[in-house]
Amino acid sequence: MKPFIAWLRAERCPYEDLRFLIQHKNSLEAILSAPEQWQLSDSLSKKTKQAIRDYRPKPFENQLDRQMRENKTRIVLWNEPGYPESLYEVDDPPPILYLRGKGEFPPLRAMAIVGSRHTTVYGKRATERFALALSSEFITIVSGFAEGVDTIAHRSALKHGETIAVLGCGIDWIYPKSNESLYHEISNRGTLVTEFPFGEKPWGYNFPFRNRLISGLSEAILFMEGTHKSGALSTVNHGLKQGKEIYALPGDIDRKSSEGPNQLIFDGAEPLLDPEQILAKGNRKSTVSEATTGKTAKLVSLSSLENLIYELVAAEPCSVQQLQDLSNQSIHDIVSVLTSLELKSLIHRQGNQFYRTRR
Amino acid sequence: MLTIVQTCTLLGIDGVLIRVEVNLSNGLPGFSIVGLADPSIKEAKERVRVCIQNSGFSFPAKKIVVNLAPAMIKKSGTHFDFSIAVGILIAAEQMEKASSCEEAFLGECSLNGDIRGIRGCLPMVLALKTAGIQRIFLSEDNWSECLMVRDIELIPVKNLSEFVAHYHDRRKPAPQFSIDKTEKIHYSVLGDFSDIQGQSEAIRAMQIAAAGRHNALLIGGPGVGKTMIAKRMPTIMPLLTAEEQIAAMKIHSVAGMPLESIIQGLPPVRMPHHTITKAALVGGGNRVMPGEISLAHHGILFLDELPEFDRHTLELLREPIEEHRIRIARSARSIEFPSDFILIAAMNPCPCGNYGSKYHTCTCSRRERKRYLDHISGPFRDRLDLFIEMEEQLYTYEPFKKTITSEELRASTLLARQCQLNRYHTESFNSNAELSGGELSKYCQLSHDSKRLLQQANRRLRISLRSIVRIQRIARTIADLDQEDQIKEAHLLEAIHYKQNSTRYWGDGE
Repeated sequence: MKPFIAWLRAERCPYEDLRFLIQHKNSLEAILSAPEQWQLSDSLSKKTKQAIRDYRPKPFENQLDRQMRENKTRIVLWNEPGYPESLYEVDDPPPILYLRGKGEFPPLRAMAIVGSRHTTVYGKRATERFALALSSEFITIVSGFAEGVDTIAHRSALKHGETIAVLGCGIDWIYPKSNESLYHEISNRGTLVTEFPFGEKPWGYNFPFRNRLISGLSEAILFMEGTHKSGALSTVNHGLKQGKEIYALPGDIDRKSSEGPNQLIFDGAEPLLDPEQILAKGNRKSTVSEATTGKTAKLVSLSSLENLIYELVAAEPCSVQQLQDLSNQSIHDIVSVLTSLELKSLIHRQGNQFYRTRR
Repeated sequence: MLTIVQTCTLLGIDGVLIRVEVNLSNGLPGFSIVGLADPSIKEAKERVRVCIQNSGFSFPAKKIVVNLAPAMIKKSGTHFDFSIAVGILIAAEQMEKASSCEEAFLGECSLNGDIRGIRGCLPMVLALKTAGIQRIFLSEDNWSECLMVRDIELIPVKNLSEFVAHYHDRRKPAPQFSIDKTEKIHYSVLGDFSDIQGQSEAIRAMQIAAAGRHNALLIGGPGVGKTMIAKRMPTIMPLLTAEEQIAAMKIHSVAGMPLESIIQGLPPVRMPHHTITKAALVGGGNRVMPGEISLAHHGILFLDELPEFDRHTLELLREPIEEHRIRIARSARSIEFPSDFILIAAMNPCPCGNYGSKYHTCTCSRRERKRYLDHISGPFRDRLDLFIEMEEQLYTYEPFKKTITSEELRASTLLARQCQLNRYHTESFNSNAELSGGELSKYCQLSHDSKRLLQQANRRLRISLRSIVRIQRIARTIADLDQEDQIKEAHLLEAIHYKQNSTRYWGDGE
């Protein structure tokens, strides 16, 4: 089963298909023995059907075994024991996770610490302080293994506790190169996790995509530093969609690197003042969130029309006219909703006529 | 033998009663006109002489002196012809002067004896009426434009001989012309807003502009329909009231412009080309004439290609936009023309017109764009309330979706205008666009949440404080369109949207 799914993942079949196949694993024998019959299924995309036809178990299993041994990697499948509960809530949950390291996975409690690659002395000091304090309280620190805030968070967490690094490339790549020693430290005492197959290069578009896993694995997100364009804000946005608690480190108002967190605080995120504050709140929160289901709780509440327009804009940058054609709402409603969403910093106007979501 | 008849002359758009004194005396035959008459009046001598002869009368072989009194006012125009001819005929005892009531004569003589139409007839009739004249003989060409003046006898005249015949024999009725008063307004000539494909945002903004008399700027590439929209503006505006109609007609009459659409009650639309001179735009010239801004009085002034206008020419508009009138000063006297118009301006987003387009590439450099945008100064922009970007529409085979029609738009504009009339009936102004200072806080009361919203807009969207005032006015109009007494947050949000493009293009943030 695992090699088969790994094969399909390496062939870049849609996640949806993979989850479908995992769900029907009882018929796997049948699929593999009579792939022709399964070609009829409407549930699978053309690509997946082709990949199933091309699957040659023996050579691929050998290759995968070698790769897993060399990289000390293990595989966890969606809907199987060992797959983190919280990832079922994210958009398009990965059907397969590649793990490396001796750390606890899935973590009992985890929080993400994210921020930009360029740090200031202030950001570094604060990141160290929070990562240390939280990890000492048996909270796993999740981050993205990038330079800057991520690296500091991982390193500080490893001092007394555990950390999870969510990679944007195959587990056999060490990226960035400067983090080679950290890579090995995390494999010893923490966990490296990725949804990308062996050999996947660190393509730029992988990173925002994997950000949903960073927030998905965590119960709270701590945003330390970054301009208002920082990539780490996408993690925060995923977190908002997933209903996670958002904290931001307040900084000087004229400090570029504090633009992002200060704006978040203005928008309603909790300012990071003291690790104790998170611990106290986190405890309360965990009992509450168990009671309520993991429904999407956005930081800002949106009216139904706002939601509709936001969804349309999120799907594709739209002009006012397009929005009207798509939504069939009156123009004055659309126009006022657009301004309202802009005021809530959810969308902005790109170029001249098009609205798109922020970050 | 001395005869005095009465006529009128124009100062700006107002008439002044003129007494035409004609004296026939024995001596060497001659004909002279005095009283600061300009060449167009001096030439009247020949026209009057031939006209009298060709109408079957004899031109007196006497020394004729015509004085136009008061003699210190400069006079020009051809409408003195008729009164001079009548004066001569009476003085020569070829017709009798009726003394039953005060009479005046307006018209130009043609060589075959006809009395022709003149420019500026309506304001002269109005002035003569206030001066106490009870009966006016005028050319039948001018008759229809003056019909709306009440309580004065207007007698259309075809030619001189008929006039004399009727004048002597009052039993014969004067020829009557019928005008169908119930004539339906021909909106269809102007087109309809439903002819426009897409552009619902711009159409909505135009409705707001029409309802609250706000000035608007349409920004869009070539062929997106800016002119189409401006031309259709009268179809969504309320019809002119009788008072407005007369004010507009006076100006058009002085300028010799056609009056048909104003007689129907349609607001005028003026679309001067961007090469227009200062005098043609705001008024002026040797004989001071109203400019385009006055011709657009109670209507629309559409300035296409706004940045192409001479910068100084545009700056001249600042005062009339605020004051609703223009004062043209000459060393001798100054003349005031009304100019209460809605300014609709249009421009491309950049010199090549493709900036921000989905389909075309803009070839302008940043500097070129900036220079283009800088043609429109900050103070000028500040007088514009609505900034609308228009998106290019693609041609489709399918007939495009029928959008909102002018009639539907007009219905709500009318209601909104009525709201304003009711609200401001004690004030000196009557539209939301004129709200400022104290009146603004009086009529645009905001809830706590709304105030916070404006504060947010100020900070997050970098909307300047000055713009916030504008936003409140627009929001007032939007609320009026919704028939709401209280400005709601949605109204403000919509208003912010229309002001935001200004910040986007010019970075007005303070």
